[in-house]
Amino acid sequence: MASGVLSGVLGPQRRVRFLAGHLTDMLVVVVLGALVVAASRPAVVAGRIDTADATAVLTLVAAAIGSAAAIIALVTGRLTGDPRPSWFGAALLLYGVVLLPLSALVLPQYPGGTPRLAVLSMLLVSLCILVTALRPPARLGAWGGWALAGVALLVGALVAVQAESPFTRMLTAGPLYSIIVQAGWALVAVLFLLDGYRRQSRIRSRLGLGLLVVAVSQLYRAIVPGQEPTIGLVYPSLRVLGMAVVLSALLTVALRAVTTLQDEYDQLQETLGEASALLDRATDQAAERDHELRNGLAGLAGAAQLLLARPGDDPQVVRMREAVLAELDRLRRMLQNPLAVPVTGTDPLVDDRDAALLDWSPAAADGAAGDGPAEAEHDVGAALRTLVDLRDGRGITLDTPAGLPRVAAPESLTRQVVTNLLANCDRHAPRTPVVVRARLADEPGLVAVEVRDHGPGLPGGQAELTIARGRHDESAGGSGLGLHISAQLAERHGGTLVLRTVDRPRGCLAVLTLPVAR
Amino acid sequence: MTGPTGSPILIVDDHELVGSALALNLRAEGEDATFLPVRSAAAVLEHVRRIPAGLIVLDLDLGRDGEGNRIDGVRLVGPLCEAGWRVVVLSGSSDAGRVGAALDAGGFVFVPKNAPFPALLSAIREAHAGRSIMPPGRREQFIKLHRDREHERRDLHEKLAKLTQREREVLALLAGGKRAQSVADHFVVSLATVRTQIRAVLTKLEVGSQLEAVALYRKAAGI
Repeated sequence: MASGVLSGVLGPQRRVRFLAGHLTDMLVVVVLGALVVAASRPAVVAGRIDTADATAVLTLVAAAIGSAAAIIALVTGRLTGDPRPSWFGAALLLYGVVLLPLSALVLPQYPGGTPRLAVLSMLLVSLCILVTALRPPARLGAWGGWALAGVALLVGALVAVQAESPFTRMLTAGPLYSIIVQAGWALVAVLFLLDGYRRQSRIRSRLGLGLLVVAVSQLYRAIVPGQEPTIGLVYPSLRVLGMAVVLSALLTVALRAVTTLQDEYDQLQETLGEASALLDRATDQAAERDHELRNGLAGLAGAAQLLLARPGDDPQVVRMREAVLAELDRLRRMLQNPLAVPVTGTDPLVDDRDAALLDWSPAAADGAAGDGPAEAEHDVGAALRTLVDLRDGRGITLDTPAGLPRVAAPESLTRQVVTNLLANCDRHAPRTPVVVRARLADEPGLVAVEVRDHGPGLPGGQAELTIARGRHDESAGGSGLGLHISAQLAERHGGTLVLRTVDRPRGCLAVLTLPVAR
Repeated sequence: MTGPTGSPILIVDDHELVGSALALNLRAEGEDATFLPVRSAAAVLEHVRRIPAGLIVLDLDLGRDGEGNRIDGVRLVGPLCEAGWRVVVLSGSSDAGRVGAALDAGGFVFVPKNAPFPALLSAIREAHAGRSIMPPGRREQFIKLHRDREHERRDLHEKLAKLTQREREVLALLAGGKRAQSVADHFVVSLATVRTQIRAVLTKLEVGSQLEAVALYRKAAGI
């Protein structure tokens, strides 16, 4: 209803605007036409200008303007995805480049009928293309006009090689040729004008006006008696005017298309800007959080360091202190080495020098007696012991045989992955017994760390789980990212992480394998 | 620079747990280490002038003072060095440019806060003895990065200075997350006018898109 009222108000307004615009166009064209006719009438031109030369020049100018208009039509068609300008351009180009020069400059020198018939047939095809351009069949797409232009050339060539016939002689002698040309042009011009009125489009009406001027310029030739070169320059001058009007209409369309595209581009930029601002904010928040976490961890590590082991301490307490330190160290590493994000291309606004400089270099760390050179290998049993000690009340059974070989991976890896697996047990199988076991794997050269719970097993009763990013059991919460990163870490050190459903009793078994150190 | 072994070690950090843990650990190793909680930049300088110079462990991000202004550790480095202190730059920040600025102002060595705690302690001990644990050349890299950034910032400000008052206002609104349409509404002009102004800004800043222009502005304004 609202839209009905709106269109009821806007409809007349639009009509008035169209009418005003079209009347202005018409006035301008009429005034220009009068000026052109006045300036190029025989009385003015005769004796001052060589009309033959001037006609040739004006014809070429009209041809050039027509070609320019054709190219603009083509570009506009490509920009907007609308096939109509492309059809229009094909017809214009055929007319401007082939028909105009032929009919104005070549025909007068060949009085025969066959060349006239050839030009006439080509003209008719190009007029057909123009009319089709009003509503081109979707089936033919944007290139149909060009195909028809090719057909026109072919037809013209075929006709040109025919012998003279009574029909062609009639073309030479009588006014038939002029009548057909004028009628054709007039029809096309009127059709365009009507189309413009029907759609109330100023541009289309202006196109019609331009074509009408071209049609009038043809009419002039027939009603003024006498040989063509002696009629002054009215005929070729009007043609230039007509083509110029067509060009101005097409330019307006092209400008409008470019403006629309630019608006779309600008809006896209704004949306992108909003997205990047959000991303920036998230990055800033993450940096801020990391900063706070680093401070917190440094403080906790410092405080834990103070809880020195004294002789006579309960060995359980000593182990606990070490477990706390190791845990803090694991957290510290997580902040230090976020999983490397692959950087593609070089963005001048993103500088990766910061991370490279700020990273605590291994050389400095070695010198400062932090992480020993044995960083790359560790005793799985000891690592598991500290982890299990940390979860004293959880009821975890630890089973590590003595004499297990060291594995070729940093201790932080085992700690990280097993911590993740234990957290998973807490989520999916809370308060059930958990067994952590280390053993030599069935495959030689590998040590297996197993974490087994007595929960429901893998979701959906799967036997085995391939770990993909983001996989998780929605009912239990948590994101599968932890598992995914764990698997990636293991693979990076030549290991694997596999989850299985096991029975008797039912539960989930996670197996982390790591290669034995040489 | 002075700072023979035996001279005091002062720890300046806005995180009490970090500061006191460092001080206590160093004291357990027999050093004369004190933790100085931060109230304001002036208070820190006043404190260090009253006691004999030694080694100072300075966090670059010192939180906010009573009036809510950020206390910037970088600005303290110069005055501290002038007062005869040897400055160990401690930072958990991910901006290496700031570390470079602190080293450029005379900082002796940089230790990241996320280093293992024993490494942190040993770096401070080494600095106390006059040795830097930074690998050779690293200090120069930090300073170069800082100077490059300063240079970029100057260039950027020169470019921004070329903008007219209105263009700067438009850019500021865009950087604040406004769309061109609401900028046009704000100034009661047409959208086309704002678009023209935006294009002028792009030309003057020598960037290809609004996105880059806004990013540059944010960088310059430190948003």
